[in-house]
Amino acid sequence: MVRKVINRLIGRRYSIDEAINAYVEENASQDELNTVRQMMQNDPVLEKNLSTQQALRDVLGRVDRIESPRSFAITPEMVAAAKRAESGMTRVTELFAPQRKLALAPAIIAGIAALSVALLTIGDVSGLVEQSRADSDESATTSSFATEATVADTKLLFNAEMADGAIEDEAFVDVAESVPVTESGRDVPPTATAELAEPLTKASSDTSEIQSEPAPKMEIGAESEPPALAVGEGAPQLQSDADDSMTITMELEEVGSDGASADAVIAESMDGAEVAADSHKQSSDDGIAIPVRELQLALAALTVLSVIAWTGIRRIHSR
Amino acid sequence: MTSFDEQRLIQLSRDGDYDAFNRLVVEYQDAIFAVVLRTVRNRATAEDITQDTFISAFRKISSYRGGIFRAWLFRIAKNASLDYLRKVARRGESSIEKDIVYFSEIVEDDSQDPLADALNSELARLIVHCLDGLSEDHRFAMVMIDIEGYQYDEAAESIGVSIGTVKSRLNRARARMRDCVQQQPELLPASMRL
Repeated sequence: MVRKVINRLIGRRYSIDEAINAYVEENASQDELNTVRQMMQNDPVLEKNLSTQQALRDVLGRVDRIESPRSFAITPEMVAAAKRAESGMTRVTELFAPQRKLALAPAIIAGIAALSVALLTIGDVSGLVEQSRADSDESATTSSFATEATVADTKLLFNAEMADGAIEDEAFVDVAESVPVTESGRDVPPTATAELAEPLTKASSDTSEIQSEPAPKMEIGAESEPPALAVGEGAPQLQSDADDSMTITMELEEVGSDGASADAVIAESMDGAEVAADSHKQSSDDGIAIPVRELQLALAALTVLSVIAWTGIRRIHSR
Repeated sequence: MTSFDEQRLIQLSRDGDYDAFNRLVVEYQDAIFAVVLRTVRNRATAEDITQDTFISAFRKISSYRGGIFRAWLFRIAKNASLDYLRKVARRGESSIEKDIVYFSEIVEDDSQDPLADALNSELARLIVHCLDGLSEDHRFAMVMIDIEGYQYDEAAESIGVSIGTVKSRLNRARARMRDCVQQQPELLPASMRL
């Protein structure tokens, strides 16, 4: 709609310009003459103005011709010298020369990036955007690897201790320290860690059952769990908070004492993780959860780089 | 030179034939130099820009995709001229040679009257002064069409805009020139006085 109006206005402007030019150049068509005469009726000064323009054009047309003072024929040496003078940087800057369409590109990029940083900061301060937990979640892959590695460590620890015939408390302290850090990142409250350690400690009191049954199930569970979480639930749920870890730990305890199947345990722990992640999601629905700090840093870097590029290009070009 | 000759010379130039390209240079150097000089208003700079235009044209001739060859040369020259003017403006220098005869100064007049010659000379100076007051885009349009007498399509191709835009710019340029020259009505012919 707006474009139509603009086009109509521009089109009208063009047709008026065309009619006036044709009148001044004395080659107007009948339609153009009618247009100009109609305009003259509305504006009495126009006729005199246009006749002045006709006279001016006549004067300009009588200005002497200019002839070149010398020959501008080129030689191979001139071309070679020009090639040498034109470095790769010059070619790049030529793309962004003031008369090119790309001239303002670096400045526009810098402006947009700076504006985005400002908006993100305002959003962060006002609470419209939140730092996503996955900052934390820097990426699902990284987290998945970390979880896998930690669980594998845990499994080795379990196996080693079970081979000795006893599981010491410190082994579970190690588990309690490692699991929440990798799965929950920095958001794990100390109480959650304590709660996590507790059921595992309980499980350790029943070493005979663990030795007979849970060890291989731990391996199954440990190896299949991280990928299942990563694929099925996505990164945000994978990095859920201490509740997830606690749920999983609780299930481990049940496995140790009841000998329930690993699949059931995994399924239940997944449910637990889902519930925890859902509640977590609800809590973050108040704002848009994005990696604010990373974005701010990236955009700020882009701004600085664009400004440097912009000033550098201008400096080289002016030289 | 026929159009066929021009195309053949262009083709030979693409193959690196300097002699063929220099025939094109001889054909167009006056036109390019005149427009550049009237744009940058400095003879030495105009010579440099004209020379650079032809060197650049030879190096980039493979990118010439048809159309009016002279307009393609004008476009290279125009970019170089505007580039120079912006540099000068950024440094706060003046590129205008105020009293140097680069505009031919004398508007052709058949009369042998010395007074008329003097008035014409003053009128030429006034025109130069008023042209200086135009924006680069308006000046380029006016120089190409009203002074050098090129057609709208060639001017549009040289400037790199549509014909409608050229007409629009020319219309505004003429209006501003009219307002400017009317500030010294004593220099104007009777037909130009309000």
